[in-house]
Formats: sequence, C-alpha cells, structure tokens
Amino acid sequence: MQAQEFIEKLYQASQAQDINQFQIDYSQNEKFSLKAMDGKIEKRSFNNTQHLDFSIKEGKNIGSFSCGELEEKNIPLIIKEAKENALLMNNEEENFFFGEKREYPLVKRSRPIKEFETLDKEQFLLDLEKAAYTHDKRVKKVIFCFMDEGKYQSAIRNSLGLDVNEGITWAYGGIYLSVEENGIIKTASEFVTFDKEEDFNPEFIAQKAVEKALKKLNPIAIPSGKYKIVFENECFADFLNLTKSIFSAASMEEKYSKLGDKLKQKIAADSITLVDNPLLDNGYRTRPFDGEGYPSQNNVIIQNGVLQTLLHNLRTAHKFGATPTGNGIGNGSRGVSFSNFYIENGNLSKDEILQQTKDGIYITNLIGTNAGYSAASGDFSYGAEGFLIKNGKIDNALNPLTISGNVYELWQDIELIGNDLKLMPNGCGSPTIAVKPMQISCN
Amino acid sequence: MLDKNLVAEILNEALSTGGDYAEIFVENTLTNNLHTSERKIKSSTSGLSYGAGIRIFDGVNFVYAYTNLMDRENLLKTAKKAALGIKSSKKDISFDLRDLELERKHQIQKPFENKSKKEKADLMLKISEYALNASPLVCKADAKYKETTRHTLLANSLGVWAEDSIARSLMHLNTISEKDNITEAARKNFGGLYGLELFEGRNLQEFAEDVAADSVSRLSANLCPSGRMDVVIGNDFGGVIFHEACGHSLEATYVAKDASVMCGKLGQQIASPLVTAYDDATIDHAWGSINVDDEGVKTQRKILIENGILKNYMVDRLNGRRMGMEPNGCSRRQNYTFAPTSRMSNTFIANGKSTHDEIIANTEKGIYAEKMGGGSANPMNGEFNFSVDKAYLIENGKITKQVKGAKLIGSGQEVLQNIDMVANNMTLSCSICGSTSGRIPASHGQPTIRVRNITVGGQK
Repeated sequence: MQAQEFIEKLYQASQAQDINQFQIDYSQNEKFSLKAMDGKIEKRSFNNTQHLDFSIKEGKNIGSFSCGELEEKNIPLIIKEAKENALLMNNEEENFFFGEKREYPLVKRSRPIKEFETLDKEQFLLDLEKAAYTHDKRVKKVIFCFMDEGKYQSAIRNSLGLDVNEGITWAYGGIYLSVEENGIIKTASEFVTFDKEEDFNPEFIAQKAVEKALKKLNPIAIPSGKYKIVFENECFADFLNLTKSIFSAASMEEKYSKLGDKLKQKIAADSITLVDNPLLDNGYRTRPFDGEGYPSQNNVIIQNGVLQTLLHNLRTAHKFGATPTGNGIGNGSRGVSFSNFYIENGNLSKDEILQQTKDGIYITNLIGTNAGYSAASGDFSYGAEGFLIKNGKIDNALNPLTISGNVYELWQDIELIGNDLKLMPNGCGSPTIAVKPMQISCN
Repeated sequence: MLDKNLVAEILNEALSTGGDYAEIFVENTLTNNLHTSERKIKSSTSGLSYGAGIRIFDGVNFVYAYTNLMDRENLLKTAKKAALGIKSSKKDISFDLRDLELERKHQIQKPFENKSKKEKADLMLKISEYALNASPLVCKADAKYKETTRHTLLANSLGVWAEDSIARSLMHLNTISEKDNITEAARKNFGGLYGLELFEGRNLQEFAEDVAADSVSRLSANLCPSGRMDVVIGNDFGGVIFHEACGHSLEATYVAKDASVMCGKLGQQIASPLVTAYDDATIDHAWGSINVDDEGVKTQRKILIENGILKNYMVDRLNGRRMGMEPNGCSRRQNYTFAPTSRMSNTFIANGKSTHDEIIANTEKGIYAEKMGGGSANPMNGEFNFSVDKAYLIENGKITKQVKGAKLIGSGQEVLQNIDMVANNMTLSCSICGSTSGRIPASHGQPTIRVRNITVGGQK
C-alpha cells in the first residue's frame, strides 16, 4: 500500500474511533553505500524503507506505537497499542502535541555540493585506497574506504492541524587505515562530507589519514599526574557530544544534570558562549522544526559563562514554566534533541594556544567512550590518545592515556578558546580548547 | 512469513547477473518497553518491525539490499536492483529449499501476553519500591523492562530454509543516591530467552537492594589511585574485558581483513596456560543464545582458547571464503537493516582451579574490580580501556576501602599472558554488543581472575 493512502486510512480510522488527539510521524529513508578493500569494491548496499509512529493523547499522556509495515491489516493493532500505552502511563505532568499556526524559518542546507552528482564514486574509493598505500610505505593496511549517501524525508501531521514536512540529502566518505613501524601498529581515519572542493581529492584525504596515523608511531610513556590539557577541536566536539545531556531539561528532571538550579548563574569560564543553533547555515543538524513540529530558533545556552537556558521540549517547558526551545523529539518521547550544538569561536589560533600552554598534553582522540561517564555525578574517565606539548609545540606521541575529571568543573576550568571552530556530523562543534591541569594516567 | 515459491523467485532474480550465492533474511519483531520511575509508569512504548535483507556474493565481494516494502513486486524489484551490483557471468545454480531441522532449545514457559502491560508495570513499580526503601539516601530508582519476540526466516541458494522464533526479556534497574550534594548511580540487570518466567525463582527484593546499596556505597568511596598494579577482576560482567580485548579480535570480520592482532595465530600460545575460553550460542536460555545464526548455519559451542592456545576464530560465510574456512554458526545482525557478520554470542573464560577467596588472600597490594563498567578495544592492536563501576583496594590480602573512577588500560595480548590466577565461580551477564552488524544481545562471563601489572587510570 502507498504511504499516503495508508496515512489517510489511519487518519480516518482514528477519527472514526473518536480519538481526541493523535499524531502521525512518517519518514522515508533511502541510502546507498560502497566499501572498497584490496583494490576492489567489496560491498555495495542500498535500501529503501519507511517508518511510521502513531501517537495518541489520553488524559495527560501520549502513547505511541512504531511500525514499518504500512499495511491496512495493521491499523487496528497500531491504534490499540498506542491507546493502551497512553492509558497505562500515569505521569502527572502534561504532554502535548503542537498545533499552533506558526511561520517556519527558511534554512539553508547545501550538502553535498553539486559536483557529487557527477563523481565516479567507485573509482574515487579505489583511488583513495591507492593514494594511501602510495603515500607512505609504513601503511600496513587500508582497512576500508567507504562512501554513504542518502535521502531522508519526514512528515508530521496531527489532529490539531499540524502538517509539516521536510527532506534532506547527505553524503559521507572516508578511509580507515593502519600503519606499522618497529612492531607498533596505530590506526587513524579521515572523513569528508563532500561540501567543499578538497573533499573530492583522494590524495589529499589519504595523506591526512596517513599523516594522522604516522604521528602516533613511536609513542612514549609519561608518569601519571596532573597536566595542562589542550583539546584538539574535533576531540572537544566529541567530548561535548558525550556530555551534552547536562544541558537537557529532560536529563535534569531525571537527576542526570545538576544545572536545574543554576539558571542565570556562572557555570563556565567568562569567555564561553555555547549555543544550540538549528538555523546555522549548512549545519549538519540544521532544521526548520524539531521532532514535535515546533519552529526552530537559535538558543544561546551559555553567554559569557552564564547559563541562560536548558533545552526543552513542549512537555518539559510546560512542567518547568520555561519557553519551549524547539528541541523536542516527538513520538511521545520524553527526551530532548540537540541540533547544531557548539562553542562559539574565541580569538586565538591553535598555535597561540599551544605557545601559551607551553608544557602539557594535546588530546586528539577520546576512546572507549561508551563507558567512563557517570551522568549522575558528572565524573568522567575516558581512554585517550594524545601528544606531549613541549615548549609550546606538539612533540612525541604518548602511549594510551586516560583522562579524568568532572564535567561541571571542566566548564569552569576552560582557559583558552581557539578561533578554529570545527563542526562534526553529529552536530557538535568546538574550537581548540585549553584547560587547567587534569589527571592523566599513561600505560 | 513469505511463500516458498516467491522466495525461490527472489533468489533466482538475485543470481541473474552472475552472483554465486544469494540469500534473503526476513524478520518480524514485536517489541514492548516499560519504564517506571518516581513511583509512576513513566513510559510504555511498543513497535513492530518487519522487513527483508537480500545479500548476493560474487567471490568475496557482495551486495546487500534491504527494504520494508514487503509486497511481491517491490521484493523482486529490490532483488533485481541488488543484482545490478554484481557484474559477472551467470552461473548454473539450482536449489531446492528444504527446512533446516533445528533443535529449538529455548522454548518459553509463560508467554508475554499472559500478563497485561499494567501487571508488568506494577511489578516494575514494586522492584523500584524495594530499591527506594533500601536506604534514605536512594533518591531515584528507574526500572526498565523490555520483551521482544523475533521471528526470522533465512533462505539461501544452498537450499537452506531456516525459520526460527526467539523470545527474549530483560529487566534493568538503575538507582541514584544523593548525600551532601554528591550524586552516584548504580545499575544491574537480568535477562535471557525467557517469557514471564524470567521473574520466577528470583529474590527481586534482594536484587533491588543490592543495586541500591551499590549507589549508596559509592557516595563515600575515595578516588582511585593511578599507576601500574595487580588487578583482581570479579566474575560475571568482568568478562567484558575478554569480550572486547580478545573476543572481537577473533571475529573473522577483522581476521579475514588482516585487521586483527590475532591474524595467523591459530595453534599459538596467545594466553596464559590457565586460560580456556569459549563462545557458546547453545547455552539453554542464555541472553546471547540463538538456535540458528542469521545466515542459516546452526549454532555451536566453540572453544576459542584451550590452555592458552588459540583454537578457533568465529567465522561467517563471507569472511570464511576469504580465510578458506567453513562458517561456524556465529553470523549475526541487529535486524534486517544490517548485513550479518561474525559476532559473539555467550563468550566466557572457563572456570579454573583457584577460589575467589584464595585470589584475594594471595594478592598483597592491588585493586579488586568487583563490577566492570563498559569499555572498548581496538582489534587492530589490542589496545583497550575499561571503566570499573565498583572497585576496592586490596591491601595485605584483604579487600579494604572502596574506590571510584578507576579505568583499566592496556593491550589484550599483554593481559591474556598476565592472567596468573583463575577462580571457579564463572557466571554470565547480559549485555548489548555494538559492532559492524549493529547492536546484538551478547553475554560476557568469567570467574574471578587476577591479572598482574595493569595500568590503572584513577582520578588521583
């Protein structure tokens, strides 16, 4: 059955059952992937799937059921399950569908650029692999080169009159490889999103990945202790992604953020401005509305070190007497979704930060990040890769490290902010960041 | 789920451009989730996932296509489109789809529908209540329950027709304790291939109080010291280190691509002679068990390491071709949206001859990592790092102060060689393992073991 026809039937069936408030979230996903290895296209993959979430509001709660198989026979099950889920919950705070008539902002997204359409993708990956082997004989193995591209379309329609839809296209490519010298094996990866000319240059991408891995060779050990830390921009963006939930009102109510009573208080170094900006031109998470259909707006979370707001969905905003920020997930989810979440640029170059730090550790990568963070306390202890900073310059690679601290203290301890903001595909972004000494252990 | 004639037609369409093997995987999974917190039924969600994945091989290259538009026309169209990715000369392949006989070991006793969602939610509320009543410092208890029923069909051009149905349930409790502005959390779960009998014969109060006690005791724990020291790793989820730092390196996914430190090491001494380890997908009702793998091969109990010697890899059909080895029933995927590959099921270090108490008594100074958190390892070089959820100092053969924030770092090869005591108290835990073919249920296990000289990353 065609999706539109199914949605119409589900809509009518819901109305026929006198369901007061309901919502249909529909999405369609197409993806095409290639993987190259050993001079061949090892894997070609594609898909075409659709997904529907049906939600019902009963009393104060919203219950939902998710389904991929859009066949008429499933309609009774979908309605029954959503209703049963809604009636079962007994939360006291009210949940909402969004139905106000609002203007939606125009957002600019142009990724990938048009050159991508004419790119010979298979040849590109083979060239990328070859370029890595050619670049340095210490390349042990190009583990894979990959390219993924896709199209995603979503629509929200509800009984309050909301009827919005949008679509995005996206593309990623990259290389993952290992290098070996004196029995030491190190790995590195590099990715591109085909939004600038250099992303189409296999030699350039391969060279970056190989150089990244080579720098990790011949690592040395250092004694465990406290060291001044400079985080590479990409690495601090990763850290933001791992710990960003402290800025979510939904986490705060779950006792996984301690910022609930810190509004208008200083929680970070003076120079910090942190935003969640879904309107950013060409951001990876740029969007005209959130998962609840609420119009997007730029939210300044921290300004000059002072906490301005947490991020809310319709439910948390109502519960805590705040204005919605357009960070809902939808489908009856209680959580908050981030968009382009980043620290605004400061005015120092990376080199100036290294010079001012003089001696310390330059952290380039956090590893094993699926564990090591206690959201309840804010304590973290992550595996890491990094380099010694000696006399203001990046020096030897270091053996595997752990870096430990507390996220709330870290925001206060930021000392220097770079002017090299880097946004990552997960939506998080940061410039180079220098912080006061942190606890480091080295294998 | 699909008609045999249609499946044969799909497979033939998939082979039309010269593929030498084709398969279709069809999955229909019903999921229910419940979450109670703050004495409320906070969330109840459910969903139905139904779709199919088609895979075609041409030597060691392959095409994977999936869809959830399950009508005949679209399935044939998907097979045809997938076949366009193969550019070879058509092979003369004929097959007759025959039912694969399976020993269906994990039949459940009490179907999920025997109780209403409300009755299950009330049980969650009761379990949370036990935790909240355990100590005035416990300020939050979140109970989560998940049940899934997964029906699968795998049919391929070797003539395999394998249908299976697995019910799986998991109960998870998370508590938070608070004192003097310090907040600490703890968690624990139990689960397996069970229906509602999952909850029977268990002391749920003891389970909840145990989790509560863990979050309370962390409040007064000191920061863990850093440096190299002997580490005694507790049983059960302690096996996560073996899973991550050795198990993944034994998956053909990495070995076949020369991307594992374990390449070419079959028959070699890779661990201390005290170490014998298995991957066993056949354990009755265990969390990671399956009857047949996701490419139609019956599962088995595989010895990975015997007295320190590497005996077997986990081999899937495609990587088996690269390695010249037969698949051994370990190919898995999260759902139809992933192509399958070699993965672990229930992976554990087998019992040794020491006792837990002997190991502690014989350790002069070190850390006792009673409960591990998660972590990760790089199969390419074996480097790993893990956090420890609950740890103590060992001083003069005795467990003394509790410490927090401990992290273990090192390389898998080194740790395996440095295991010098293995106890006899092996148990399995429930976990979710994320890798190339998605997130799958997997058990880790081990008895208490001692590892000499690991780097402990602490916060002081």
